[in-house]
Amino acid sequence: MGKAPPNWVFHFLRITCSARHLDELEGDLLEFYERDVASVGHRRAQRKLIWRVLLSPRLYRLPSLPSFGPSLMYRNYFKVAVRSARRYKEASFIQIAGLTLGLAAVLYIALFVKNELAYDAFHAQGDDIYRVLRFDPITGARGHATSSRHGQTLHAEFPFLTVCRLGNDPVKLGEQSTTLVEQFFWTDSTFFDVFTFPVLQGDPSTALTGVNRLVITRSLSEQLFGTVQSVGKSLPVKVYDADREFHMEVSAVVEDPPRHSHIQFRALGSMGNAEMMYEQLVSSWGFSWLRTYVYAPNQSIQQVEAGIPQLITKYLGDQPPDNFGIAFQPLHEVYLQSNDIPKNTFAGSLRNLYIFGSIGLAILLLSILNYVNLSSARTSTRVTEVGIRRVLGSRKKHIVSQFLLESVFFSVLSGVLASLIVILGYRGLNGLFDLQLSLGVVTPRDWGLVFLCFVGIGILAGLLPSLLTAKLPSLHSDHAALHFRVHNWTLSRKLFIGLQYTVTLILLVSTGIIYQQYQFLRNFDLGFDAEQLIHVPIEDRQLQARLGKLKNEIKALPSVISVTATGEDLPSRLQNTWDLSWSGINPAEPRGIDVVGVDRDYFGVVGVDFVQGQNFQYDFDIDSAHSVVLNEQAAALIGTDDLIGKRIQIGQRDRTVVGIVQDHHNLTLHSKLVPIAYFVFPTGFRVSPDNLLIKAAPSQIPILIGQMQKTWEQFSPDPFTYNFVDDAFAAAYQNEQRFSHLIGSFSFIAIVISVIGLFGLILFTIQYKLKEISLRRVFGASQMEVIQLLSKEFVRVFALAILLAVPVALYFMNLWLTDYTYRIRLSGVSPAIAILLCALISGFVIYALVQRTSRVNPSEILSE
Amino acid sequence: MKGTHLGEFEELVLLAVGVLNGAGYGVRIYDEIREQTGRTCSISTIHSTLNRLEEKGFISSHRGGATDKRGGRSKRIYTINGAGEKALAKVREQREKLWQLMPKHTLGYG
Repeated sequence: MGKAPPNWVFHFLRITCSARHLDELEGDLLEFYERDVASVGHRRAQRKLIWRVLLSPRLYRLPSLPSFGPSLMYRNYFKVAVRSARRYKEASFIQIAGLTLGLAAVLYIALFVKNELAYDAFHAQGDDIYRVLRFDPITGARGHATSSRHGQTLHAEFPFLTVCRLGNDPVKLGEQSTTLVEQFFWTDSTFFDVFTFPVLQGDPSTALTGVNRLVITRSLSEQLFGTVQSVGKSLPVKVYDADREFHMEVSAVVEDPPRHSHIQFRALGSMGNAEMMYEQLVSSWGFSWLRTYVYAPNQSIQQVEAGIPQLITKYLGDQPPDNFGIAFQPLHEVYLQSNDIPKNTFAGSLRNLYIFGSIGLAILLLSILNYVNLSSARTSTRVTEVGIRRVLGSRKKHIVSQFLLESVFFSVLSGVLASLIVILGYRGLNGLFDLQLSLGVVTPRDWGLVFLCFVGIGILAGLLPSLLTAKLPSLHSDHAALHFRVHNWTLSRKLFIGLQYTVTLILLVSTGIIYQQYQFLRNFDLGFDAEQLIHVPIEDRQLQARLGKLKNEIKALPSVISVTATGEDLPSRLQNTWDLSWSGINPAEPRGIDVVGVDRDYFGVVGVDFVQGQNFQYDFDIDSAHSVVLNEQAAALIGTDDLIGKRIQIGQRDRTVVGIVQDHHNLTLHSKLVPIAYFVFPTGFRVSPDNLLIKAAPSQIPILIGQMQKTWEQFSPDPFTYNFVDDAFAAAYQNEQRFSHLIGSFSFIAIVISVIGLFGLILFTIQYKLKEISLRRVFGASQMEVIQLLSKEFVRVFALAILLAVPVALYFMNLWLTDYTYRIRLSGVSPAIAILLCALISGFVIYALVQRTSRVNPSEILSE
Repeated sequence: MKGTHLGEFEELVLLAVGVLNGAGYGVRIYDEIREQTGRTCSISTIHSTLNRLEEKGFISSHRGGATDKRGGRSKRIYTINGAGEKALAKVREQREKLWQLMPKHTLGYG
């Protein structure tokens, strides 16, 4: 009968429907379900079943079994609760809507947190897997690029470790119509011993042994062969960086890595091939290209960590470099706690998670406060009811339980509504915030906990009003009511509204600062001219050899101002760090410098000026092999005043410094400026130019792109790709943008909830003081005086909240900003705006409500 | 005891129960109504109507045996009883009477 229908639907039915009809109802529903499965398929049938049950209130209205016990009393409580909610429609709506909105926001944030925490949790041995990091004991800097020696040595010294190395190498797969696979890794045969990726076909234990064996994912297999069953097929693999080609055989097909995996691959190849291609791989400690992981069963990692100093001495001699160390990062920290690791692109931010989680807590707090405030306010309108109940024999505990039940009923109602909003709306929200949250990580246990939270909120919120009410004496309820009303406006209420203001202000100030920082990054002066700058990557080795020709052809196009060939894209990755030394250098402190291959047009195209000296003389000649242009950082590193004409050694070769250029941010602003050496470089090396940067005249861009495409087609069969450099820089701050957008939206929700709370409270205050206000108006008080009377309560509380909130917000934002190399200076702007906004909104709410009251003739109220 | 008035949809369901002659249960009745009249409704409507009819005393029901279809759940078989037949007859009689009284040209085919 195909797949079984979801069980919870029937559980739901069992809870809500009477036993007499259950069997036949379930039977009929199942019969429909089977029919639907046959006609529209399993998934739609399931959906239809769920709708059929959930949207058919008639099903539950079938007569129930005779009830017993104290249900009459509870039914009466329920009835009274609904009546009271109806009588104060506005206030009840505000109360329930506020809580629903707040809970929905909190649930979505919880979903976000849950998703972030779900990373890499699916590996069966996950608790014992570690990523090996390079570690500088002096500066504390960590790096995830390790050499092959790291893994080999660890395996040799600690045989109980299972070591797995991964080396990324973009490849092209296939014969004629090649597929570029950037997520390709050379890896060890231990891959499947360490990680848990479900294998669809093939034997994982031998899938990567030896050479020329290839593991591909389901989606790639379907793309290449149109089927998942591709084991045994042979495939040409062109390795882009090494310019080599292999014929590899598909040995296994695996599921695509889950989205919550920091290791994202489309294909894996035997490490044996990489060892054949890259000779340094086997021997050098410095060739840091791999990511290394170890599986250390039964906490043996402590033993390994203890043995590292010995290992370093053994392999690197008595005096190893001071900056050489090895650290182990638990797998579950890899995604969230790697922000300090450079070039680790696939990382979340623990700090952002904390901030977002705190906003969630703040919203939760606001919603609860709101709810408590409003329900205790509403309770005070029901003193007569309580009085009568007491006279009729209710005990205190009855009253308490009545109000508790009522409160729990409404909080669970809001909670269920909020859950529905999130379940039905999370896809839309994902689109809005550019996130990819999934509900798949939420277990039934989580839902259970969430439900308990709803109940808990109800109890918490109902406790105060119910205790207050239960204290009332049984008779003299009118007098008591008066007393109660006065009493109610004391400390606890002020405390609540104060807390609400504080939390709102903290959120507003923080949001403002995060937004300012984001704008700051976007508008930062990069030190060069990124406008109208087009970048064209050249991935084809053969075309790189003819790059000069292509460059000249493009230069000849009408709306091109200038063109340069360069080894680095903008923003750059700077993946070539060479040794640097000069006469007078302290030999104990070896220095490195990032090397960029350029031509002499580069500085003109990006608009960087020379501080000293001049540009390269020629493009390719004997002079170029001996000249270097440094940036200001590099000049400062060397420290000599008059560098021009001096000889320095870069990568074991002497070069003459011909010029020094201004520092410019060719990296994104997440990184500091670094020392850079610019060379003119012939083709055929790793640093050789493999990009064109084109400065175009404004307004002619679309025509120019077409012309460039035509030119390109004469040179290469590859598709023409390009991007704008300013766009690329903006995209680098996508995380900041997304985050500020997210925080902004949720702060807005928090503010809405606060306003709702304020509105409800003032509404009640006006109701309490209606007679007073009316009397004052009869005696000639102006509207302004009434507003003053009402706002008196709030002004002092508001002032206290400001004193509390602003320092707290500034303190935490200062902490947050320490993450940024380039950051704004904290100022009074965003606190001032936040305070003003809060005051304006409060003022407006009071004004609007007073306005409404003054429409009624005061004599009418007084004559009642 | 609720009133013995027969609503429009109740009448349809009651007729279907009668037509099915001891073979009618929820889904079967739903199908019959759909096939014969082209009307679709939700299964819960059928159930609540059957329930009401039973309360009014027009139909009686008993549990049918469970089969391995329907996830092992039993059926509740509905049969029309004397009161139901009478009620149907009464409705029909009322209608007939009114039809008889209808002037022919009103319907446009006189």
